Amino acid sequence: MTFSHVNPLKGIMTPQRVKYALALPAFVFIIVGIIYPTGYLLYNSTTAWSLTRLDLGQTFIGVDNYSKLLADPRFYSSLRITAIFTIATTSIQTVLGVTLALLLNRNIRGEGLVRTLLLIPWLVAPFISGFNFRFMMAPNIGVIAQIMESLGFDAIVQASILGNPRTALGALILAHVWNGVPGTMLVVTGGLKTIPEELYLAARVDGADRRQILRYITLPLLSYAILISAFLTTLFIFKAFEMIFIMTGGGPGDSTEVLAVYQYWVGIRSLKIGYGSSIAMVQLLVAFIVSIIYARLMFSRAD
Amino acid sequence: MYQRLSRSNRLLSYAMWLVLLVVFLFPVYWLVASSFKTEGQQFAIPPIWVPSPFTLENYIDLFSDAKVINSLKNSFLVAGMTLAAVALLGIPAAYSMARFRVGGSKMMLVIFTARLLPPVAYIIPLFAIARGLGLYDKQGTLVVLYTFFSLPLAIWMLVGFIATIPDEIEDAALIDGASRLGVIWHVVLPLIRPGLASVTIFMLLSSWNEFALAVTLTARHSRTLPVTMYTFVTNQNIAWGKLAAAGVLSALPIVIAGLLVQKHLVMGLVSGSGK
Repeated sequence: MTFSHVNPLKGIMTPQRVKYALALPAFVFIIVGIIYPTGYLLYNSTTAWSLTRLDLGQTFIGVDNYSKLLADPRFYSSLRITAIFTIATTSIQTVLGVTLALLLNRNIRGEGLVRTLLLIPWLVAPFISGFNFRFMMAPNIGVIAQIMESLGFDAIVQASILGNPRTALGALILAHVWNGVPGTMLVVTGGLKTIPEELYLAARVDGADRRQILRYITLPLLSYAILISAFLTTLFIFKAFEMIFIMTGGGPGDSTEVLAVYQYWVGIRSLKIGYGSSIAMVQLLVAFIVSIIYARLMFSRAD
Repeated sequence: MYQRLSRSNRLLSYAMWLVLLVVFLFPVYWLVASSFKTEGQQFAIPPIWVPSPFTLENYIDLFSDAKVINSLKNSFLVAGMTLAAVALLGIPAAYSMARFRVGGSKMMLVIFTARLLPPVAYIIPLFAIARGLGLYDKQGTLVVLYTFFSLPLAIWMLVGFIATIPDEIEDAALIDGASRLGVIWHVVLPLIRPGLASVTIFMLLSSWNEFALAVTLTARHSRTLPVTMYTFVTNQNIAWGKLAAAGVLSALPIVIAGLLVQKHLVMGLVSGSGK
């Protein structure tokens, strides 16, 4: 692609038109890209449409899918599991991420290198981590089972970590924390760098000890960065799919079946497009509300 | 907190770092180590901590598998085309938004929110659309979708980078008779090269390493590497060594590139880059 220095479109493209012409394709693409699938999803959710019964076609049934949803125990179960999974992962990841950021902000030689190395888990794609953890958590002979056995946790090992409804969700939470904690650390470290050095000096002159500095200066000034990263984690974890799909597929039973996985089984595996769409709508709605709050939070600070 | 730590405190810090690094890097180490072990060594009791003999058979297996080669090609093609499409649509738009405030803060909000929407909630309508329009199992379908899901983040980041370039530099080129596109190509892009590198990383994170959409929308013909890896697992016999080798291959470019541009990662992260 070459661009000559002489404008070939002079006369046709006035400067005013050029401004809009540059932005238009992307704007159209984004707006159509939001409206078309969202509209189609909403429409499908008001129909009975199963790709295994093509003879029946797609028929409009109004809110029937949603009333069915409200009476579906598996839906409630997946809501509950999604809530536990999201809240637990976000809390653990935030506390751990903030702790790591603080521990690695003491100006000791080598800190930068440690921070860089700790980023690696975050850069490993979730589907790869998913395969890897499934491999490491293999019952009895997997490396984690063997480590736990040598530490004396035989009971868990024999039942298998991912095959036991009591431990599978916990294992998924830890796997997601492992994958996500560097992101929290990164955002919080960014926040730490914006705290002016003079504040610490002044506090120390006034005789504050480390604990007081942390309690009255660092943490209050970090609250915005912590809030941002907690929202981000909530959004990521709420839509988490790949690692769960690969590690447990929602099982054993439905003990790790979050909304994202449930709608996948219904819509894609069982090909019940209509009913699956109503589950996806619930998911989208929750994500949208959290996103709007997060966007407002970001924009109110930026202005 | 710039405060001298005592010697014992410093030693304590180093000890703690060591524990942290072992805990956080062990899974990565295990993946890499497994990729150099024979199948017989994968589940040895006690575990084999360091592969010995060190074997390349998994990598050889991988590259002699026609399905893997085909999906590698697909992954390259899809990631490359996505990058090109994002650049073509995103750079002019970001320029226009940064320079002339086209779209204003409303469009910025739309773009920001678009990035946060969960792709996984769209799997069912996209699957239905792809089947209905005969777009199932086509590389082009993935390119369009990845472009859609990465474009908002790209624009968001690019607006930030372009806004840092002073108008005067461009004005000089415009007076010399350059067109807007000429200015973007010859003046703006060279100045934001480091920024472009980090945008590229984020685009790769959501195309090269994407799994959920790919596993739903592709089959034999257009499978990308992540999906082919999934087919290793559903077989009766899971070839862990080969799977680990494929994992290392998929992760390596992103990990290296990500570490190189780490100071820009925060920006992409807070504006909603998922993985």
